[in-house]
Amino acid sequence: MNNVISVRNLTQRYGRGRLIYDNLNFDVPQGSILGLLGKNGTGKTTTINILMGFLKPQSGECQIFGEEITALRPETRARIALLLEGHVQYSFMSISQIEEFYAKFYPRWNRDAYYGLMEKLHVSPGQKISSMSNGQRSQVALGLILAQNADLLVLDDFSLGLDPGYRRLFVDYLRDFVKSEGKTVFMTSHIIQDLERLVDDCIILDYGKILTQQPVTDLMRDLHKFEYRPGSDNEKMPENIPGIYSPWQGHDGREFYSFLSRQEVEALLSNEGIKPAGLTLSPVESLEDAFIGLTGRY
Amino acid sequence: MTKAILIKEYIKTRRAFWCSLLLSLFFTGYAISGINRVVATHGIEHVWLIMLLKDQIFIDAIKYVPLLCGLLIGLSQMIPEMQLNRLKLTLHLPVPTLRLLLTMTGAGVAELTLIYLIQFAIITIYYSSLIAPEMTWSVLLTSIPWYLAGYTAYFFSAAVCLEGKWRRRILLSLLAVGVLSVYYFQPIPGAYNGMLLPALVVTLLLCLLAFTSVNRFKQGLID
Amino acid sequence: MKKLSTILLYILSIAVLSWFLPWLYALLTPTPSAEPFCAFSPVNGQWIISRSAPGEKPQITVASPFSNDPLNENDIRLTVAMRDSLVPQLYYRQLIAHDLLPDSIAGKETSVHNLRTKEVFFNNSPREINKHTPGVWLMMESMPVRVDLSDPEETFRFTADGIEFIRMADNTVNTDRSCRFTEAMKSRGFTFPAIDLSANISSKKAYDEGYLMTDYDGKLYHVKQQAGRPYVAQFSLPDSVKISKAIIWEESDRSLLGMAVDTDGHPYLLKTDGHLAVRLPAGSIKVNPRSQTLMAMGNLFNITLRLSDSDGTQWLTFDADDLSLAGSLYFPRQKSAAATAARYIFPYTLSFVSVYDSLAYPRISNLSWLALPLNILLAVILMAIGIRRKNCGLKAGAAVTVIFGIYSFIPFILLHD
Repeated sequence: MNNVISVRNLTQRYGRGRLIYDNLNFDVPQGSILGLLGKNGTGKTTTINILMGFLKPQSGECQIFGEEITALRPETRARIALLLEGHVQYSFMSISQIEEFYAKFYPRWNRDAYYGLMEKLHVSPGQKISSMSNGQRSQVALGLILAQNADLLVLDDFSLGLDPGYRRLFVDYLRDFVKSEGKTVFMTSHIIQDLERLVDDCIILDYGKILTQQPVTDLMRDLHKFEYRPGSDNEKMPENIPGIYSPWQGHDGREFYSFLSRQEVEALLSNEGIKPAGLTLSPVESLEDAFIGLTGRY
Repeated sequence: MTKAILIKEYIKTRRAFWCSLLLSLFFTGYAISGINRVVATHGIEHVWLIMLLKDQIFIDAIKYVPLLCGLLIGLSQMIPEMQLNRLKLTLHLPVPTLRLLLTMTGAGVAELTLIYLIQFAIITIYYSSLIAPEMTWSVLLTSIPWYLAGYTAYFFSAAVCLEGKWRRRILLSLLAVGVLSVYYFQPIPGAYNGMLLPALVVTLLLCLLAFTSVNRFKQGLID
Repeated sequence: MKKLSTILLYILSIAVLSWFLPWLYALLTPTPSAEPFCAFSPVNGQWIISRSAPGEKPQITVASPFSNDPLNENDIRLTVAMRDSLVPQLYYRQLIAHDLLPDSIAGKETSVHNLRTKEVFFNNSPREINKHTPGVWLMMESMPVRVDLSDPEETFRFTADGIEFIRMADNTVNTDRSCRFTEAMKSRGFTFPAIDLSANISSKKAYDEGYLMTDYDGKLYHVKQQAGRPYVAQFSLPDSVKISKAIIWEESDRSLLGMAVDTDGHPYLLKTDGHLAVRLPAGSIKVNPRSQTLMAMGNLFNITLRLSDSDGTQWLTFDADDLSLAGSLYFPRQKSAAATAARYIFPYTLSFVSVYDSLAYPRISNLSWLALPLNILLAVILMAIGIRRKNCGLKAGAAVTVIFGIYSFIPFILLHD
């Protein structure tokens, strides 16, 4: 399968300061819907900025459709639809002006897709985008993406500022579109529930590294929540043990997450001198649980 | 695509454009009414005498108007691009960056040129009926640096707005003040005649400053 | 294109700082001007030099006619009253007030009438000459119907083979007058168009002598309008002499029309009677009203010229009767400590205006090799920072700074990423 996005050895810092990630590698295969998940400050928007050519990385190579992102040809850019964080658009334009504007740039422009969505908003074509609510603006931005009919959709935190109704509308529309057209999507969102309904694969970023990249179904299947009671109050927490994620001391006991089997986990804990009493294993209930399980509560 | 970009630029700047045009017409009218007042009170000969003996051209009222128009149009055009980093949308358009920027600044320059030409034409027609063509020509040549200052202000305001770092914005603004002040050093009519051509070349080259700012934006040099 | 735009930014920054920094420096280090004023005494045949610094009493000294060190030639210090007596041609009003004006000096009757009618005091700045003119000049009526002069009603321009008068009232050509003047001027051998004109257009003056015009061949003419008719006279000068600039005076002494300078820098006094141009024996000293501020002081006894430029001030005095050179002094321009220090800081100065013209264009002056050590030091600093930060731009900046010094150091420090 061809990779639409290919990132190799990407290293980036905030200015000369904190490392965002070091030697990041990932691919986005054609036709996949990939969600980039991570807590605030892990570099989700930074990654999108780098991929779209709005930030020069310290080192590493990024390619989209086989072209270096620093030298993307205009024709290649035309194959990429971009949704900026906060659904930023040319708000000084009206509904019809912005459609006429973008239509000139994209050969596969689908005017009906845009106006089909606009009809649901009960807004007049002459209405200025700046006079619309956040939710309505998000639909304008979505309508433009659908009309562009691009091969790759890059969506940066599409759920920011939207109420649940608009989020649902956005996700449903987008899902129908990308599934029916076989598009490739690379997206971020801080609301994991939304992604669960949408993405096939996910990359979970932690500070400075990728925690995992795999299909969501595999993640949900393989990641388990483990709970146990400590042998004594002084027994150490299962921290810094490779394969064990987000150990947490709750009221009734301790918990952690792992991709390992029960036997493997018991062996690991035993090696660390931890004797878990009543170790139970349960599947994660949602992508959000899996995300928290891998990245921790804070 | 070019037409679409031009329309987008006009949508952003139309208020500033019409304000600038009105401002320009108002001050041109004000300057002309001043001359008419002199003609009514002292006679037309007095206008000639003052122009030839006192180095006056009677249109000092419009001196800073082109500069103001350049600033107005430049700011109205580029500030919306930088609000919420909207420039990313523009840079994502499937158009080479240089062509995109030249089209954008070309739109601003075209609007300014239209305003300036209207003002220039009014002054030319009015003066041609009053004074010798040599004197009219001298008045027009004297006003050309003010128009160059207008374009300079426009290009610098574009570069300042498109720059992502405040420190650099301040430095560019100071540089703009320095370059602009050159056009207002010498108030004597015709003083700049000898440097109009090189000044025009420099002014045209200033459109590249916005390109520098955008390149920096693309490198992520944003506060 | 990316490189070109960056280079443009640096060039602009260097250019702006090249004028701004020296301008700011000069603004912050004002130096008092103590230009001496000289007058040639008909009483003792010596120069009387007055100097006054701000807040100090004037110092009045004496110097011999051709002194090499006029300010330190002797220890003689004069009082103001003594000076008034020694240069009565300038201070006769004070002498009369104290009843100290003698009846005659050097065999010349020193009546107020005599002194006043021979007075000439004329200043000319190169700014008045080096400026754009629209190519249209005003023509006064020298012989008005009423006693007082009135404002001109017509202007004139030169065409390829004539002069054309324009009525200001209706902006139309006065064909009659144009033809009359063209014919009169042609008949006197005037070659059109004129290359230099000088007139004092004002109805407030005592009389009008019209224009001193230098024709296309460098011949000097006196052209005026008398009762609406042309008056054209050519000054008698050898054919080899080509006038570059003439200046009309119209002072109390009507016998003198003004002065002229030929293309070799020789000054001439222009006499009204017979339109004589008499060369003043200034020796090797060149006069150029286009680059020197010129002051002419004429009186019963002498004619004194002051020629001032950026290098210094030259005083020349000529005997009023035979126009022989009676004295000559030179004061080189004193550089202030601040100006001297500036030569170690700034490798050159860029300016757009000058006190010697009314034009605006870039001009480089005060080239100074003394600033090279500072340039090199700044370049080394840039290079060190460039090496430490692995910044090629700063390394290139170091090379540029060797030439442009502080002007390029500041932008490279402030603008580099």
